[in-house]
Amino acid sequence: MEAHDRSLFAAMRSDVRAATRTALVTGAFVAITAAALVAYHLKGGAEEFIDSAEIAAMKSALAADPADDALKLRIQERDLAIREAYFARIERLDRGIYLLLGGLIAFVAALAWAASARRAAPVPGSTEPTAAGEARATFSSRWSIAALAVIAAGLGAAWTGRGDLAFLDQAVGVIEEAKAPPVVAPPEEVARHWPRFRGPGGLGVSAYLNVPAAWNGASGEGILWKTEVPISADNSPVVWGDRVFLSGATRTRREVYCFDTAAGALRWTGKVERIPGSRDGPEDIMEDTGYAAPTVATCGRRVYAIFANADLAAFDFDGARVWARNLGVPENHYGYASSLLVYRHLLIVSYDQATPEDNRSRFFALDTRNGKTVWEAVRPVSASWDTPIVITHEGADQLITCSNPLVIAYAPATGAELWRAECLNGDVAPSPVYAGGLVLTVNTGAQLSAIKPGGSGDVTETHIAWFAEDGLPDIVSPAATDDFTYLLTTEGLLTCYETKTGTKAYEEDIALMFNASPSIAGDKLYLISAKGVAIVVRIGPAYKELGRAELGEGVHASPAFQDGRIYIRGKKHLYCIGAR
Amino acid sequence: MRNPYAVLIALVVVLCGRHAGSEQRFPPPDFSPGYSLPVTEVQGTPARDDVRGYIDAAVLLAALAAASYLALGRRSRRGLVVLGIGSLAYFGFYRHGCICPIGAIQNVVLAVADSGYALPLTAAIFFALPLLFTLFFGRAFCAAVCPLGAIQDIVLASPVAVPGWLARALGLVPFVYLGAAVLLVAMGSTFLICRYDPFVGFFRLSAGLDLTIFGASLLVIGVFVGRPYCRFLCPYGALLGLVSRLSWRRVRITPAECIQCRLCEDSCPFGAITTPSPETPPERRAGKKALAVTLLVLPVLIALGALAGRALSPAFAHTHATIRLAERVWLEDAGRVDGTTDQSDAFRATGLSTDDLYLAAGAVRAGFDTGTTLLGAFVGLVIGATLLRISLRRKRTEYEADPALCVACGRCYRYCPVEIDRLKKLEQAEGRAEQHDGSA
Repeated sequence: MEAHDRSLFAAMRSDVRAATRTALVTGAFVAITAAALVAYHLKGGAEEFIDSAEIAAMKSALAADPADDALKLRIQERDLAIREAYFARIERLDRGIYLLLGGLIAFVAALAWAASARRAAPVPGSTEPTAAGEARATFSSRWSIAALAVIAAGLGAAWTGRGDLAFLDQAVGVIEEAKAPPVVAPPEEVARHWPRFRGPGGLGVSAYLNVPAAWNGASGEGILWKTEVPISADNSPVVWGDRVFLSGATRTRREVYCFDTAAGALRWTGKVERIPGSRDGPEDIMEDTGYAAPTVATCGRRVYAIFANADLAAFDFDGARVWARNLGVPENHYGYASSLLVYRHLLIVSYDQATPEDNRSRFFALDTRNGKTVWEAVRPVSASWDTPIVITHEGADQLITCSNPLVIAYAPATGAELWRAECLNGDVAPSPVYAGGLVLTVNTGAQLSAIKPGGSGDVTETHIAWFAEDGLPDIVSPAATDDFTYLLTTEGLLTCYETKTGTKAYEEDIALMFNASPSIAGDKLYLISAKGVAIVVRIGPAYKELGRAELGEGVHASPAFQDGRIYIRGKKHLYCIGAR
Repeated sequence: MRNPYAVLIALVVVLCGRHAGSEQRFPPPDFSPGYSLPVTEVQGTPARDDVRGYIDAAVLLAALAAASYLALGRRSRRGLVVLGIGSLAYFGFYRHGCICPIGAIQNVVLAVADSGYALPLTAAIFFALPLLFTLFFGRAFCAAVCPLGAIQDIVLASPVAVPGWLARALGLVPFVYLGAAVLLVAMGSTFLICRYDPFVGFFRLSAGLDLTIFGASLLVIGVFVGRPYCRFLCPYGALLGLVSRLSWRRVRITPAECIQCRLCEDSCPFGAITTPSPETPPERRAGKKALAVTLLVLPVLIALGALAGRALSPAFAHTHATIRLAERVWLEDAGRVDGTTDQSDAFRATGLSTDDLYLAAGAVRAGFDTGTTLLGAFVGLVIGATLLRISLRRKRTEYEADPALCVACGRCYRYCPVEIDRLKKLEQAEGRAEQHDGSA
């Protein structure tokens, strides 16, 4: 290096001393300012503003004497004073920080100046640029970029896990499904399963004739399997394919169960919880009714359940909740018990409550795809506990509903009323049946009515083909063929009428208590008592008992019939009865 | 004297971040009995510029002109330092770091993406002016106008050279950041750049704990690594780097012909000085082969980037308020969470249907699917282009400042003996002129 260059760099170092002095002065300023700020900061004061004990004490005193205007004024004045002090403190702190920052910048600049002035004179690099060196640098750069890309990919992969949008697929899927034509299982397929309370049509009639008639719960004879149900309830089994559905509930828990038909394993439990508007209860429910009296229903793709607190939920067959809503707890003095049914893509909900004067009874038809209300019928009836049925008369479908005092038929697709008949009374629990072209409705305190499902308006005087008053049940629904109609009272009185004429064929006191509704499989009538004794009776003009079978466990639910099997819900277990 | 830096920075960080980690929630004052709080009305007034905005634009213009003059005309490092401190004081602490050209990227993107958004003239000026100056005079904005650059320049006391291979790799990050910021603004998610501005909390004396730590870390790193935010994060710097390659005039280390003294070789703390090509050229065949392979790999990188971007779509989508609200509402309706949030309550209070919300969220997601795919392809392109650039050899005969990397700080000037000679002659000439004036 030339001598004059060295002198130039020496000149660059000439102000080291000045830079160092500046750094010392500004550093001292920064230190003093910082110490003052730290001391001021540690002194505190902000918490007094947020949680002033003084203000809190005065407010407590004001709560004891809300009319003390002088105290109110003192609170306001003190509140204002504290706020002013707080913001003044913040302002002072801000000023101090700006001072500190200014000093710090000057200090750092002085340090940089000093460092620059002290820096040794530059010397030339020791190595010449070479082709090999350049190649090495290029190589390193390529691999460093590759490494960064790999690291970025790893971070991206980790981040990807945080962004699951499966919910959106499901939500939009439901919307898209609702826009598309509904997928409805054809009637012939529905008939093969047991999709609702009392099976296809809600008539308690099995499509299969090969169902067992003898079993023994104690010995296990004829019992394919039995599985404990997590929460006991009186709703009945529903079967579709290889799945059996039940529900159970307590005052605070509501669950839907799916069992495997092969071995009775519990496939999944659907929790019905966290529904907007839902609350536990109700408190004053009748113990015999319980919190899960309504039987679930299925459309073949989803299962729907409703509970005493009016929580209504839809699950797919894998147990994922598709939608849920709460309808508002109905005013029902025994507790809500009407079961659900599916008509095409509509979920029909009987929601009778209170008295006719209250005008609160409703029927809802909800879209099975999203739970939205398709139609709603206001009903001039009181609370009821039965489950409606859908019949086809002269090519048109009718939704038959029973309550006090009316039997009302609606067009199930629209909710339009077709006809009504005033022939019921009291607390209606038995569900209607349809046989021989007649709608059969019954309740204790009223009558067994055989109604011709036609006409319009009030058909009480014109369409009741016959009525009878013997053996009227209060809970148990009737069972009927085109020839015979059976009524069974809770106390065990079985009464048989000729369906076409209403002539009483016989009356038999079975001397057992019954809650489950009778069912028909071919020429056999199945009656299952509250203690789990099944009586199989030959269908005909005279009482003929074919046999008895004991489950060994109480039964309030109605059985479900499938190919060679009967599913019975006991008070604790679900039973599958059939031949091995 | 160097060690106190970190301690001092930590101290100021603690004090600056006095609001860090805490969200002040003031209980309402105890008003006089009968007082009712006025209802807050939000009026949909369009964004408008006020006088202060125009003053800011004028200050920016003046600062850019001064920086260009000081960097290219006057070649004064000291002048640039003074101007940088002034910019830090005005754009940083006085104007609280807003508006700034870095953040203005988002305003411009939003104006393009959202027809309902009126781009404020000030934002347009702040976005365009530094780019325009860069096109003519190099990165004058970075030199001494950007407060973020200035604060980092000030703390740089003990520079350590970042290896070239590492700097090249990290130099890709600003492009990724730029792409992500553009995507999130275009989708209406968030102003990412402003949200994660590491120094605005210092300028405003208010920041969350995370940003305080982030900014403080950058400053501590910045004591040793020159301008870490500018070089390895700043999205606007990425744009300026591209534009500066085309600049009309740019920084030259030497004011005349390079004498190859190699004194300036280590003078740049930002690794922006490129060395002359080696006298023995590398084998051309190997170079051509590497170039061909890189060209072939480029479309693969773009495709892989697009796929990776698409895979990240759900994660990006969760930055959008509509997606988050839809998820919350769905979780509530599906019974998967307890309770509600203020947002879900507010949504339900509107009476709007959840279907509309889900469909809106679906549309947002579709936008993100496209956007993240494009973002990924862009990142792939950037990587490929960088590899291509590495593979390309350009004959260099002297030590020169890489226009894309050089922030025109002027540190290298005083390392050049030719420059020193020029200054000496200038001083002598000025001395003669003063003597002449005195004698006259």
